[in-house]
Amino acid sequence: MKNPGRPLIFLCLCIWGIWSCRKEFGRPQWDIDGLAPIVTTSLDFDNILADSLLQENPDNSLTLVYNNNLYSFTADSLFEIPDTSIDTAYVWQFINPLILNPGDILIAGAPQNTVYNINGAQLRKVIIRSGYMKVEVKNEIREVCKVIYQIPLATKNSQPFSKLITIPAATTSGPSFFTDTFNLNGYTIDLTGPSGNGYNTVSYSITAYVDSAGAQTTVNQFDSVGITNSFLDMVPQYALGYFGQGIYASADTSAFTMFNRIVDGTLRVDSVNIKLNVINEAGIDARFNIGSLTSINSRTGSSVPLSHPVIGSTVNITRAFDAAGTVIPTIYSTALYRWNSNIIPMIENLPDKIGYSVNAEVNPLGNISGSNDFIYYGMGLKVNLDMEIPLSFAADRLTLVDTVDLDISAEAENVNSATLHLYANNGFPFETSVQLYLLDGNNAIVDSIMPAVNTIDEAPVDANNIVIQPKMTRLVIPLDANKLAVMKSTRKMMIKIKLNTANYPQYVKIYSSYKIDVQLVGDFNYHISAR
Amino acid sequence: MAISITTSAPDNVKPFPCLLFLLNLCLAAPALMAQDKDTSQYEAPFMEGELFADYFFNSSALTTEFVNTVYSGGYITADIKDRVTGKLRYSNRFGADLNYGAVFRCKPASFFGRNDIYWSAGFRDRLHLDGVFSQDLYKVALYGNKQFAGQSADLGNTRFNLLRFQQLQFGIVIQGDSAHGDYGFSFSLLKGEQNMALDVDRAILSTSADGTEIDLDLAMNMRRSDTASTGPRAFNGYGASFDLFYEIPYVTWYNYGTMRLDIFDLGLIRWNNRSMYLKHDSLYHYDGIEINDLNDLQNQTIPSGNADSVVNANFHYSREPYTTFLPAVFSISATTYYGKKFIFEKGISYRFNANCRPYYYANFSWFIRPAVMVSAIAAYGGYGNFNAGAELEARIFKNYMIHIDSYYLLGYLMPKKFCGQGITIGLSGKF
Repeated sequence: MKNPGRPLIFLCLCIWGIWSCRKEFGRPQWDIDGLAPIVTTSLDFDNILADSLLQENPDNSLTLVYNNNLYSFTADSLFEIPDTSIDTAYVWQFINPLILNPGDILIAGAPQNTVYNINGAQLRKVIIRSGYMKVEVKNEIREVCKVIYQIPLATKNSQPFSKLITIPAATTSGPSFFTDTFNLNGYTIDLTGPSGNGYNTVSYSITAYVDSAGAQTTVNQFDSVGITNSFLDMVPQYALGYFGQGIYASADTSAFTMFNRIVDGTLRVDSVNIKLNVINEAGIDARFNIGSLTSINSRTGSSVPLSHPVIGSTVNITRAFDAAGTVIPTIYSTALYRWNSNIIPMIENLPDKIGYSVNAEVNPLGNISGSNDFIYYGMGLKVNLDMEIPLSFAADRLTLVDTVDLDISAEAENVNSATLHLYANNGFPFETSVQLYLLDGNNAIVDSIMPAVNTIDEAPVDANNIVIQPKMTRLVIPLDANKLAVMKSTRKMMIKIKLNTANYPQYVKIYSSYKIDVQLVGDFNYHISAR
Repeated sequence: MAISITTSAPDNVKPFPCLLFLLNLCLAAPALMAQDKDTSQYEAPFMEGELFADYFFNSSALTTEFVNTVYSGGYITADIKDRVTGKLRYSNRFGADLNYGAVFRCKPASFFGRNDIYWSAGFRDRLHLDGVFSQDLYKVALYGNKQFAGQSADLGNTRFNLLRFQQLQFGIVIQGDSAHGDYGFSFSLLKGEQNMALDVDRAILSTSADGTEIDLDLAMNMRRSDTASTGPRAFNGYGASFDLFYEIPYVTWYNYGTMRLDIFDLGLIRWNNRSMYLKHDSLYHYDGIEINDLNDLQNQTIPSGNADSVVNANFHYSREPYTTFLPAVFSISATTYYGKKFIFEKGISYRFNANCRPYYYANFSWFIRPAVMVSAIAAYGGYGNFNAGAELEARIFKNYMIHIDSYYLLGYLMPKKFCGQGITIGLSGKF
């Protein structure tokens, strides 16, 4: 027999070669016709509007609650602590040089006072919310120097403000410079000065000396150590004192977002209850005058000024009470009803802004508090509207528009064509027409989705306009390949809804039990690429 | 010099090459010597090696065209789907094998004092898959569920088995004589690479007429080897198997013949404790992704809300070892020799644990020349229906023998109409 070695090796190599060259399955593809539900939802008014905007009444009807802040007047309107810089210097004036030994005093550290000019306000105490002190030093002495900066009446956690700064020595080529900043957040600063009777006064002291661990050095004529410290960007968390007298007038508009999405149509409301509130959260006496309050619809250009006894009248409002850090505000409130004002036409104007003119006078009687005015950060004088609109209304072609992000590229990637079936079981007493517009990058409309027949029927109502039972509507939405291609490339969609209430102009009341069940079913041709 | 005749086995039945080769020897000797079976002289010592590769795919419904499109990653057109649909019954089956390897065979001058014994050693890489599926399952998967709107599709009675393993085989054959035929056995060590066994007892997919809801009543279980360990080097299980054969010579109408009994792949593989077991008996209901608030649409068009609800869930998942019995084959064949030129073989085989029906075949061989043989084959059953094939075997370069056959020529000639495809190639050489 021949040597089997070579044939055996050949056999093994062939086995290994074939074993290593396994072919994997390809990825077959085919198209199927599928029928499946896509989304399902049951929406009552709680789902359409945020929960916090709705309130259920004893008869299960709903009331829309809305708060709009018209005007506010805070501490920075009353006064502002300016940025201030203080310069301190030590200069050797004489011709004969001075020998300085380690530890020798350059600046003796006597108390200094700086008085701020704060727009007529006389502050006795502030708690700093944010701000800092900046120290800049120029040293011409050729030895390391130490500086102790102290503000005895600025405390934090019962510790007074004190900083030790080490200044590098000057060299033969020139002086040394040093800069640093120190955060003053949380410091309580007594601004009454050393006597305790002043105001707007910061007391401080600076001590400068040659470093004890240094060496003896010589100071020549005009050699100096200059220190500049600055108080910058000071924002008070709390201020106590007398804030002066003044009249602050403001005429502006405030955004009113309740009807933001309404772009057309008519809305008639059965009733509206509005409280106009003037809230004083500051420890100052004030006097208010609301010159005007106007409902402005920018889209139509229509304005409806408020007609009510409060317009043009002067309202006195006393100071708030500080209960150990808890502010108890003083509130003046007046109600606007349909029988004492034209509030209904103001609301039916569908405003997107409320225009106002307000005069606020602080401390009209002067410093009657003995310089005990106070104010906290973010608090002050405010004017707002608390609105309650019972959902009893009549709508005629009331059109709402919203824009949502649209990205179905992943989900619809393999959909060749589809017909969507929208099943809506409507339990609301209004019919709805829906149109969906596809937008390009410039928010221009490039296509629409819904067919011409796009109305969801209203639920039938009885003689009292109360829904008897829901009504089912089916909408068929064909999506051919071209439309799907546009949808896949679109990133924004505009939803336009048009409402018509039953038996317009009769009012229909919305109850918490009303809802609409919507289900979207897809009848699609889908491309499968299997693994 | 004996001519090596490799007779292709029936559907799914590929006896280990050594035994086959020996069968060939037994058959060849009579062919050379006027078909007189002279067992009194045993062959001289020799060594021989053989390379082989074979594959087949057969089905009662999946046409060759369909299978090729799937395998090559092509697009399955509506016509391709429809041609398969025309062949569907309530229950349909398919099966495939892919084997390749090599065997080394040796007949020493003396083997424990005997000169009638051959021994062999071989290596094979093996892939087997089989399955049963319902007509509705095919329609839902390939056409979609829209056609079943308002109805229920029965996706149950579905089974799928995929088995991939490597085999190291050792065997001996004791050569027979006129009184009794050859017989032999082999023992194999198995390395389990991959296994998946899926059994869907019940799967009812109900689609409402308007498409507003879909229900799935599912009862299934699946066992699967460690999915983190894949590829030829994966060692996910071990096992052993046996092959046996016995021949009985006979004479009919003055023509010699041999009846042969074969048992292949009688064995098992034990899969390791990283194997997965999944059991499901649940009722699912789906009526769309639930949107609770219109604000959900602000951030994403189709929110990832609650996609479905399980009405009743009985779900079990665990990692545990399990045992797979190999799809063993039991085969009976009768081969009759007509003179020097013609051989007629007929047989029946049955494969256990493989979703397979009995397989019937008839093979008529003709020696065109002493060194060249051609055969025509007709077969029915197994995983498919009727098919026909051909075989060619020839001696080349003095010591080498080449064998090529296919039992599924109809599948190649008319892939749109017939199911099944497969080829066997073997090359052996003596040294």
